[in-house]
Amino acid sequence: MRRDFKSNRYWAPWVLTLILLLGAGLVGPGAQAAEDVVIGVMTPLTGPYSFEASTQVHCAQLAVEQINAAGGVLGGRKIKLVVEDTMLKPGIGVNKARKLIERDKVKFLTGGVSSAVTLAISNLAVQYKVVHLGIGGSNALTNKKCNRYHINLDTAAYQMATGTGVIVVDQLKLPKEWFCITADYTWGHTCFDSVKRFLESRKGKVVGNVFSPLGTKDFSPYLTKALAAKAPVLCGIVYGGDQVRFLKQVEEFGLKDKMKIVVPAGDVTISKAAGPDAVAGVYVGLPWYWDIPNQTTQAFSKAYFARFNEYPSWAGVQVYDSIKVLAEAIEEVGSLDTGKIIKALEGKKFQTSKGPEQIRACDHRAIQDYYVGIGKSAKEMKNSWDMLKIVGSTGGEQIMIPCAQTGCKMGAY
Amino acid sequence: MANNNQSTQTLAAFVDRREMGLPGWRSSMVFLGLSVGFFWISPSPSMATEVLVFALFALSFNILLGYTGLLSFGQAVYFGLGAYGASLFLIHVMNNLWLALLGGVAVAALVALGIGFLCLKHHGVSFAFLTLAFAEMIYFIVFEMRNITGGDDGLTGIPRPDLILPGISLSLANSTVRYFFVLTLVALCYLLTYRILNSPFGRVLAAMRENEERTAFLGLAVRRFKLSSFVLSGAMAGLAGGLFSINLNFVPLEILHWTVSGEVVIMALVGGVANFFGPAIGAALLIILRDVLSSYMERWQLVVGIIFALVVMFLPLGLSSILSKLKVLFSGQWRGGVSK
Amino acid sequence: MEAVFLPTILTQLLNGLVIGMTLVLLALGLSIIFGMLRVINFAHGALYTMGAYAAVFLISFGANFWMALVFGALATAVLGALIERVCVRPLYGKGEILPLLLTFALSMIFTELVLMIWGPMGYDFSTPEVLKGFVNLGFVRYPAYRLFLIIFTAVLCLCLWLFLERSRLGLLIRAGTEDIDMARALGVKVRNLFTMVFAIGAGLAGLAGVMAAPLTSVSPYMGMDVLIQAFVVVTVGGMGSFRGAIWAGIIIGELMALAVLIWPPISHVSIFAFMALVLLLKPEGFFGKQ
Repeated sequence: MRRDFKSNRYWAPWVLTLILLLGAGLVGPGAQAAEDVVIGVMTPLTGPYSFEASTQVHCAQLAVEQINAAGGVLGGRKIKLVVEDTMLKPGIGVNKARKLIERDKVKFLTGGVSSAVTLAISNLAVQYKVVHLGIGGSNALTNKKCNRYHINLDTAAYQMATGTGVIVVDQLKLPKEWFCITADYTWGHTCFDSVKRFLESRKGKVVGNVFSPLGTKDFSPYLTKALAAKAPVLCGIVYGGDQVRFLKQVEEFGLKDKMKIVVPAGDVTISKAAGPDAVAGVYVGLPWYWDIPNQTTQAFSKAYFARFNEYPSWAGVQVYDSIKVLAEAIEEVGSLDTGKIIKALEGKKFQTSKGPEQIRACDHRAIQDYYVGIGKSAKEMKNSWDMLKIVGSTGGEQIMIPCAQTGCKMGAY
Repeated sequence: MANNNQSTQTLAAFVDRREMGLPGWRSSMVFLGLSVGFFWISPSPSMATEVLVFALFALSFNILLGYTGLLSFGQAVYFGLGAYGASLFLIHVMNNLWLALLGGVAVAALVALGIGFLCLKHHGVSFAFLTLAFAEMIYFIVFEMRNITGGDDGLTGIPRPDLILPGISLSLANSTVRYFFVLTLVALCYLLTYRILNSPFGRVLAAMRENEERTAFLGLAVRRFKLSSFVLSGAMAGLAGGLFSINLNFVPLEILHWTVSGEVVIMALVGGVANFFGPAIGAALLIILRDVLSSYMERWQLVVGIIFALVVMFLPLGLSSILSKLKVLFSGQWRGGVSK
Repeated sequence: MEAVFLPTILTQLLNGLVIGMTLVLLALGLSIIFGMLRVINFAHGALYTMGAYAAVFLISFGANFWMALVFGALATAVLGALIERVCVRPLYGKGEILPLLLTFALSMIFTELVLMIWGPMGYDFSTPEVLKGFVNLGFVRYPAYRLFLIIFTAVLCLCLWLFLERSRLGLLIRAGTEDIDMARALGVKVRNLFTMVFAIGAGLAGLAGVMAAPLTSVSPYMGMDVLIQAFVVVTVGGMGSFRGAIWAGIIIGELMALAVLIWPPISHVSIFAFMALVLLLKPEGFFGKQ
């Protein structure tokens, strides 16, 4: 027995050695071929946003394939992708990003669905002077918490709220008294503030608002409150699975007969999960949609569908655009000097998969178009992806927060 | 007192008293050497540092499960509060490393004192659920206090303190300094825990784990010993949290989530609760799996789940027990006959 | 705060009842499994998800809602029986912690399997044709499916109660819950009873998943949050108590619905504070045995 007890203590270290060697063996020589330009894609493959994440990976692949087929960058150097799963957790995202920067000497990062993860990584990127083309809608990313090395091609919550507002109120003449149900986290809060600001600027108002915790299963208590407020428009500032449940329950309670339903930010994946019954007649704000009626988008969608047999979410397309514009900037600068590349990206005008965009120098957000689609009924749909009909678009500086109001102070290059 | 027996049996049933070994100095030295070497083997210094942080966190958990016989399902609270405490101190009070860590530990220990005082009247499952309820409450309170804690965004903009030792000042922005700084503290904590568990106090804990009723009959204030162990564990988790936030330079809200409490349970169990270094082994394995496997396969958590299930079913004393069994076999051959 | 009128409050009470009834189905399963086997089933949330996906699977072959409902419940019941036979059985007599950890591992595995088979994107799940539309209750037009959910769950609880109280099998189960050694000594085949109880509990979770699917649609992580809420219900009501699960389910549902009227941010904190309070003052729960 005594030996039994003693034996434990000698063997513990060897187990650890085994684990370490196993780990080291798996990691192996992580060195890249010297001439490759490596881009890290930080995306939440594990967790509730894994569909968006998988389209980000696909879009990144498509972009890289196209760039490499056209001869790569800097006279024939190929672009190589490294994908890391952030698991939708900022802590893990930062650690994995740091692993790429420290071990693989990665100088370029992109990807992301949740603003919280993107914010955490942007905070890291500036310390290492790594170009971070992150994706995330929270205003904070490019307002008070902006930094020199973070550029965001996603639409800010401000653009989502104002863009949707301009289209549904100014163009489609919906009433200006809204009741909001808002997701209780940063993106929701900033988007709600922007909606409020927009309505007040049009002499309308927010009649009432309830914050719903992220991951709300049953919206019926909130909907009952909305119904009691008797507002003509119900605005659902919720995303992902929450939006699916919100739309389904709105339909279930027959709210669509009594009020117009607006969601300032939606996506084809959400509409598909909610189903045509729930989405029919709902005004859905969209940064991108596969069926936007212009040639650039149609051509992109066709190529993407041919390659992956699905249509991407907009979070994916923004990664495609990020990699494309990054490659252009690298060509322009003629080296991998990240400071110079950032400088080249500031104010840059470029073509994306939906048309021309420009990166503002003052806050690193892209001036771009915003769309509103209206949900089709099952009868109107041509195929299972044909969920929405684009009914209006807007864009430019008018839907962006004025530079002076961002509160953004960039650091050094 | 029917409940009492239940809770003690709960653990005694699968942790044989004889197996609760403390390490000798030789294996400790080997272990320390490995930890130093790990810095060069690991794919990145920050991951290596994270392994150390979780090794400390898992040790703090095992003080409760392995040495006191309490299953806490809210260990993330102290880890999280240690991180928030240290970081808020750095932001709002002053940029001093030692005081910040101390602040984090103090917050965690105080909260552990409060929660422990309320929960330790209870046993087994109701204790586990009580700790879970408090953990969820604290998670949502921190979530709602976005003005102070940054809510769902996490806490950013934490200044990087320097490591000021007599004579020199080193920057913790340097990952090598950071690793060896954390290693020193974690090693000291392991040493401290070893000393505590080896003291009369540690023997009382072991006695309570084996049979709480009898310990009480010996005239020992069972609840006070339990509370001390709970606070010690909370303080150590708080230090781990503080180190975590210094390594990351950021505090994500996720570290207060109940899944983190679940992760630390997995780490301790997979490594082995009966082995002093078991939790460290579990922490290393899980973090390496997470960081390495996830680059190769999307559904890597399936592998973790299967390993965990197999360990629970066939190796309740964790991976560290496989090789100790082999050792018995070998030593039997060498020394002529297995003792039994 | 805007004025709250009586119809709003009444509607809100109904909403709370719907949330509560889904929780009751889950909590009942957790509770009878714990009552007999002393196993805290962390895989219960994953079984809820599996039930919903089993229904999705059958519907993709053209089945209707009712067939899918039965299939979802049966499939999870079979899965539950398998779990008990293969994984949980070797752990009896080794305390409460190992089975808890094992089911925790199983829940990870099941969630990953769902992701592997059906992918990360959610599925739409439509309400059965008959139950679309509304019922006019005077103060509100309430969705028919939700009323059905309330009544169906209530009837199911009644049937389950009758089964436990009046049938021979129910008698054996109660005997096993009351005193397992005595039951064994009297010649009851406890092992088969264990499998059956686990299967019933799992089946109830699967059923809850299918019932909730038209309200929430189907996604791989749908069971995660519900699981924690079900734990709240079980501990408040008393581990292993049938009446407790029902009452606590309704109370927690109402608490969550009414918190929205008063001050939404406290809706989460309040249920956990309630849970902690009950556990501190009455560790065995409202209806649990001392």
